[in-house]
Amino acid sequence: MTDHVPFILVVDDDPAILDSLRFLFEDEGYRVQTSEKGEYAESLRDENGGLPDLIVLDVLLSGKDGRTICRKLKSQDVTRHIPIVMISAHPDAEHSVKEVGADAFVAKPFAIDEVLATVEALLSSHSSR
Amino acid sequence: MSVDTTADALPLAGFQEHPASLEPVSPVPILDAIELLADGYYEMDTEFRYCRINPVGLRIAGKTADEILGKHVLEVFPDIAESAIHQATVQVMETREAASVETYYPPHHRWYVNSIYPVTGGIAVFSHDITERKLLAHNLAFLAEASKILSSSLDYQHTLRTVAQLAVPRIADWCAVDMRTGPRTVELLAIAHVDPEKTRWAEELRQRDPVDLERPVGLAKVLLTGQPEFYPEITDALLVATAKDERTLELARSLGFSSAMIVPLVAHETTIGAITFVAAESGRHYAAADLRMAEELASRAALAIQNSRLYGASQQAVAVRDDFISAASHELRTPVTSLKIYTQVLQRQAERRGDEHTGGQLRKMQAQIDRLAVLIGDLLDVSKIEAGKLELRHELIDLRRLTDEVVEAIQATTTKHQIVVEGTVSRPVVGDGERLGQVLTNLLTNAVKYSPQADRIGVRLVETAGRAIVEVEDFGIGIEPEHLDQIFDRFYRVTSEDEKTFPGLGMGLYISHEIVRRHGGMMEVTSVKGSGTVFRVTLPYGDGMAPDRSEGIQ
Repeated sequence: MTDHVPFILVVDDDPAILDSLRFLFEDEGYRVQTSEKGEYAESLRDENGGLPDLIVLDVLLSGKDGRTICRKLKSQDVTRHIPIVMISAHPDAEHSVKEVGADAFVAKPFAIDEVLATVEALLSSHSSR
Repeated sequence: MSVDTTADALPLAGFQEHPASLEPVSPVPILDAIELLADGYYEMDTEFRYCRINPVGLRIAGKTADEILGKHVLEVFPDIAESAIHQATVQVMETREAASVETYYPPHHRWYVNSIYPVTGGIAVFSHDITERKLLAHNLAFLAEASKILSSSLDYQHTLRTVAQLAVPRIADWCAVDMRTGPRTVELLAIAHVDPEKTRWAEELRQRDPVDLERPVGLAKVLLTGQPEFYPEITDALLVATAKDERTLELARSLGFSSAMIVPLVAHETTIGAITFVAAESGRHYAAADLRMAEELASRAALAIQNSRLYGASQQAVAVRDDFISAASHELRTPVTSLKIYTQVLQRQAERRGDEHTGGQLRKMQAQIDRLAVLIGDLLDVSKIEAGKLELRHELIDLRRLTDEVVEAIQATTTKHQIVVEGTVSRPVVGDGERLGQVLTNLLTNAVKYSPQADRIGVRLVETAGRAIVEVEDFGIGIEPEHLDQIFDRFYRVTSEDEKTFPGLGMGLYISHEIVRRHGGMMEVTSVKGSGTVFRVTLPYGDGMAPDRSEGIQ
């Protein structure tokens, strides 16, 4: 690992989930950006080093399906490399998120150890490429 | 209908029991009696010529005395040579032994028993009208069959259509079922006629010309008053009186209605509809007994409708509840998720700075959040099972390893009990490892919970030729025999004095039982009150089955 502080984008329509995940990731030393809207994630551009190193994405956003966003991010060159962890209160969503190219799935409510281990593993495998 | 269409069938009746009464004591009183008899009576000579007939006999024959007396029977009724009544007459003439034959006389829709006696110089015949008895039996048979249909299904629309079909032509030429759908609206639920062409025509007619509840005649009157309408004889005057306009009058005339009855369908003291029976081309006339039958049928039909509606309402209530449970469990997950994250991070921070006291409290808090999460998960599982949406993975599972993992996790939650695992199963079973783990977790959690005084819990793995078995045994409070049958039912909770200290929602065993069942397995329980309980899970092996990433073991 370099000195680079990994940057995580969290997308979830529930403000308390966003806040608690920010609390978790910042406590772990990551840089965190949160968004309640899927559009933000969809319109990611590589400007001023603005691309996240990893995205935590909720499956069911208000009025938007996180899987659609995941599919789009994984289909465009600029964002394809970013690992995506999808989260959901529907444990059965695991199969469908793998189909849209998500790198991992964690069911809500989760043990933070599981989330952190997943995030860490993805960050290290992606940064070592 | 097996009928003898003997047009003459000049039946005789009544006196079969006392044939000796034919012995004339004095010719004059007998003669008078025969003239006044309610039964038809006639005599024939050995040449089959009518030599005597009473007024009722003439009415049944539809002839005058001049047309009959002195004439050969086949001259008067040329078509009856092959009929049962004629054959019987010939037989009595030859054998000189009395006989009795039942006949149906279509022009009048009446049944008769004809008693034929040999008399000096020929035969004598009494024709006794048994139509009422026949109709009663006929109606009862129809009622029995219709009732069977009504109770055969909770789909009352379907059963009422079937009953209407059954009614024609046995009871009516037309049969219709109408339901009130609102204060001013009536829906024709079913209409039946032997000719489907006419059925369609009537349906179209009713669409063009709906029942007008503002005009309280006929069907509308029945629907408004809840009282039956009975028209033993439909006269032209009646048609004129009830027709809405010239056009409907013409139509009614052209259909040739002869008799009708309309009976209300009453449920909870409300008239919810009516059944209409109309006789037309058959020329039949309904009698009081027919009306009683129709009313009986209507009351049974109304009961069936009521049951069906209650069932529908209860099903809907169940669906609303299940939807609510499903929505609620999803909604509850979100705050539990963030709550759990905050607590875990706080706990880590406390541990990092060496604050053991706060860390310990936060750990307890987490245990409670986890308990909440399990309950919410159970609620969600129950709603999934009910909706048939419980998805199962299809993978090969090492039962011993799975058991060890679960035992280790549960062992960590109890210091009082020692969980001892015996035996092993080397062949893999097929299914959803996470779900089977949930079953074992549930059984072990229960074992701990319901054996507070014990220090040991036994887990036994047995590999039989056909199936793998896992048993979880506790030495706790046990279960009363009367609860054992229902222990796997949804929301079932054992309620007894000593169980009040063991609260629960009755979901865990139901979910576990369903999971095992959907794996093609079996879950059983044996228990002795006061000494302990054994839950036994039997699962099929998965050797030779390709694991499959997809869901849905049925």
